[in-house]
Order: sequence, then structure tokens, then C-alpha cells
Amino acid sequence: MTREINYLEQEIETVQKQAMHPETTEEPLQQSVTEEHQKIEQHTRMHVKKVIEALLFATNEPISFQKLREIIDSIYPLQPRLLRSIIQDLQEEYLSQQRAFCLEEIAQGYLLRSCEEYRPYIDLLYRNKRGEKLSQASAEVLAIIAYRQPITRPQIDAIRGVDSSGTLYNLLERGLIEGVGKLEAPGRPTLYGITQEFLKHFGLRDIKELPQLKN
Amino acid sequence: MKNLDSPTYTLDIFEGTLDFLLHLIHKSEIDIYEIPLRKITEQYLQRWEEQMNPNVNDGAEFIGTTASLLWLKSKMLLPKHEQEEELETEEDPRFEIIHHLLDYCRFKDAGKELSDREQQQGAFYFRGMDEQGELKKPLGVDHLGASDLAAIFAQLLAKATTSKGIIAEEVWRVSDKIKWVHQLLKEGGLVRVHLLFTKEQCREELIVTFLAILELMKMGRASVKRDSLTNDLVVSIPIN
Repeated sequence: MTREINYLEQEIETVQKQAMHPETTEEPLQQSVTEEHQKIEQHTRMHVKKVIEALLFATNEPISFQKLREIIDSIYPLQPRLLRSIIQDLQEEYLSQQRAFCLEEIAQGYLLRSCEEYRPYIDLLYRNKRGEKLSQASAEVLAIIAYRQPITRPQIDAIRGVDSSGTLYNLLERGLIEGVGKLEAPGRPTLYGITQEFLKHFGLRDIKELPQLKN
Repeated sequence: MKNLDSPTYTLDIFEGTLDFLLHLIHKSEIDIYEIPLRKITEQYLQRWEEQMNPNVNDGAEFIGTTASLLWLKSKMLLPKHEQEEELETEEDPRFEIIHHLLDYCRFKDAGKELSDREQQQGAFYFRGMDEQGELKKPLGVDHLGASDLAAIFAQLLAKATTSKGIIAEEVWRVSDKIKWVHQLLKEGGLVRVHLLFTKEQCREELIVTFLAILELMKMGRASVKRDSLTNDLVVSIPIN
């Protein structure tokens, strides 16, 4: 509302200026053109923001920035910087409105996530359906792969001093790790690395967010 | 120095000999760089004697580690000048085992941190969590036993006993068949297996088509189930 009043005031000013100084009609015209642009930009921003919101609502996997840009480009070609600022706007909006969910950057993409305070309620919703927690062995193998990827099973075994194939299979099943190639060595053992699902599971934006190894 | 002849501990708690060694080191609260090899080797042997069901694998590992420990100890016992000479060409013999232990330690800690992080992350929910709560099952083959698949294939080969009257030999490629089946799936959503294998096809073509289906199942792009109504086998696109 305030914005509109301002525009209105500016317009009145402009008209008055025009009346008083007919020679200076050039400048005020340009000014109102810029205002028009601002209005359109504002409107576009709003719409794009809503589009992003709709996309985030309709997915349960992180949407990458590239993908978002691809989709929105088909209607509004936007500068990446502008798109990023709109995403940030949306993120801040949720925070200031104290919504029950947040826009987060996880697993190299954007995603909606419930806020911590509502955990007890959602827990009740999914009473028995929560996946099992990782075992100590799984966590260790996962850590080794995360910090040393790509790495083979024999290499993992050497670090732990035990056979890790059972744990590896488990982690593969859960989609937390995957084969990323083969080592050029006798037997051509599979090299393992972490997946997007891993990043999502641990709420990481990318692998660099992992804390440094101690010692 | 604390008394190391303490109550026995079960081997099940430990992930292996390295873990056990670590535990011993922690127990006597010694610096990892000052491992009292004799004491620890004694502990090892004592533990080994106490074991109820000696298992070949465990035994081999224990012997291996004990042997390395003794080797290390013997190296340290060597007369000084010889030792110095060797140290010039080799690194500290304890280096390897210490390095190994340190590595193991770090990853143990890192694993614990990951577990903690997982715990924290449990506070957040994404959209559609109920789908993810269940473990994803491997696709396709679980629905059928090996005998089912063998039976299908036998049936198919039986169909192909009549040879075709074509002089020119055609090369059947699995990749072509993969594209073909995939296309059919895209169009129709599912395909009845017996339609993919017809009498007109020669043996090679049948085999290649069969391999194509297996490959698609392996890639997770198709799954094969038995239709409960018609008892036909059906290839479909898996629902993720």
C-alpha cells in the first residue's frame, strides 16, 4: 500500500513538474518508465516466488538450482543472481512469517523441511515408520567412505581390521553409498562413494560441509 | 601402572583385534605412542586362551596381530647401534601399527559423529517421509524365484525349436532389445511377457530379449511380476 501511495505521490509530483517546466518533460518521462519497470519487476518477482514455492511443494527430492532455472527460464528468463535473490526472499519470508517449515539448501538443491519444534507431532504421525538408525559399524564404514572416497572394500577392511562386506551391502541397500567405478588393479574391485541420499539423510548441502577429521 | 590382569571381556563387543588393542590401550590409560608391548601381548595371549570356541578366522587374526606385536618388541630389544643403523633406513617399526591405530581411531570418532548428526537430523522431516521410511527392496527378481525364471526361459526355448527359413543371419543385440522393451513400457506402462516372446522369433532373438529384460531389471528400469488374475508374467515400470 505504502509503495502505491509513494508511486502516486511521485506521479503527482511529476505531473506538477511537467506543468511548471514544459521543457523538462524528457526527464520525468524516463522516471515514470523506470517506475513501470520496477512495478513489472515487482510483479514478476512475486510470481516467480510463487512458482518456486509450488515446485518445492510438489517434490520430495532436492531441486537443484540448475533445474529451477531451467523451469523458470521457459517463462521468465532471469539472471542467476536475480533468481538466487528471489529464492532467498522466499526463505526469509518463511522465517519472518514463522512458518512450520523452512526452505533449506540440502544435497545440492533446495528443499522444504519441517522446523525442529514440530518434531514431536510429526513423530506421532510416523510412529513406526521411521527408518532404522545406523549401527555403529555402518556409521564407521560410512565415515570412511565419506572422507576417503572413492575407496574399495579391501581398503575399507584394511582400516577397520574386519570384513565390511555385510555392512557395505546394507549401506548400498539404503542408497547411502553407491559404486562409482572400478579400481585398475587385480580383481578390479568396485570403488564406493556417497550418494545424494547420504547428503539428504545427514542434512548436508554438499560433502564439504562435513567436519574435518580429527587428529 | 594399572593392573592389567583385569576381569575378562567378551570378544563380541569388539569389532576385531584393532578395537581390542585400542581398548587395552585406553584401559591402561597409556599414551598410544608408548604401547607397553609385553603387557599387551600377554593380555592377547591370555584372551586367546580364554576363548571358548576358537574360530579359524579369529585365530588367524589374533596370531597375526600377536606376531606383529612380538616382532615389534623384538625390534625394540635389538642392541642400540644396530637399531640406530636400521632406523636410518627404516622408519620406527611401531609407526605402522600406530598409524593404523590412529586411522582406526579417527574413523571410529567420525562414525560416532555421523551417528550423532543422524540423531539431530531426525528432528527434521521432508515431504513424503512415509515413502522413505521403508527400506527400498531390490527390484524385480525378488518377486520371482530362480526357478520361476528358469521355467520361463525353458518355455521360451521350447517355443523356438522351429527354425526360421531365413538365409541371411541377423545379429541380435541386447542394447537394441533394451531400447525396444523400454519403448513398449513407455507407451503402455506394462507389457505381458508372452507377447515379447513370439513363435516367429529364433533362438538367438529370444535369448537376447530375455537378457534385455534381465538387464533392465538390474538397472531398476523394469520389474517383473505375476499378475494374480491371469497368472501371466508382466513386465512393468517400477514405482519408486
